[in-house]
Amino acid sequence: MLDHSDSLSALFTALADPNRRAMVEALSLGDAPVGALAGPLPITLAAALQHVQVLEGAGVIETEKQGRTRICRLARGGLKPLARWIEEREAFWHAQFDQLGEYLNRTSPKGDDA
Amino acid sequence: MTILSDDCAALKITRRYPQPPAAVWEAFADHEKKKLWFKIPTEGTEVVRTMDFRPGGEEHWVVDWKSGLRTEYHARYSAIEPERRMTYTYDLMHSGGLFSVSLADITLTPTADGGTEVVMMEALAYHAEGDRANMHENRIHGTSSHFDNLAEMLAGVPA
Repeated sequence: MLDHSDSLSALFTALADPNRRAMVEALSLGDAPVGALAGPLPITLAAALQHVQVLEGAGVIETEKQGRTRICRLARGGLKPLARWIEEREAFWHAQFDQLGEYLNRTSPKGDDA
Repeated sequence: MTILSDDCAALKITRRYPQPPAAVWEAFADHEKKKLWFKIPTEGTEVVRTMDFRPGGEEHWVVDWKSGLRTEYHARYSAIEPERRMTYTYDLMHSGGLFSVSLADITLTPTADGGTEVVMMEALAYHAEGDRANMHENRIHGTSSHFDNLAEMLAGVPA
């Protein structure tokens, strides 16, 4: 129902999970290996790796294999800051217009007037 | 979405509603009705919420977020044509710093089925100096607060 681009949908999906949000917040303090990101969270390392894949697929983070360790960092350059900000503004307005539709349907339901 | 320059972008959103223009217009013009749909996820605290919907009138909306961020929306209506069109400008502040300046135009057009087509055009100029200065901590803080905004909005969107 929401008219979002694929990249925006991927971003929504990536950030809709509280554990993934926690991992992104941790990365805002600095780069970290997946194990360190998983540590404070109530999830297995395997689950953390899946979360990392989702975040990387959405362009939120980048990862790099260093030996046997996968190091994660917030994406830089991949998501142009302006494009990201305009997507956020677009997402904000899409949500507000969705809410307008819900409000209108609550107060003047379709088919209520001939 | 259209990228116009390094600092400017424009977006256009088109929506159709089954209700007639009069009902849709009221949802914008009547502040008590507007507050029922133009709203924030529950994790924020509204500090200021006022609207004076007339040419030259202003709208202020200030929210404190769980993350410590404060967003301020400060709009001024330049033109209002009842049930047809409104043109306004607004500044968005993040914790006291200018984040962006926008020009927005919203038109309401009746559709053949008795409903309304709403078209919103917005042009934005970004001024988030701290976010775009190429300094590690500013970039991180900027990124974190952007994601806080988006994540908090997501958390508030009804399933």
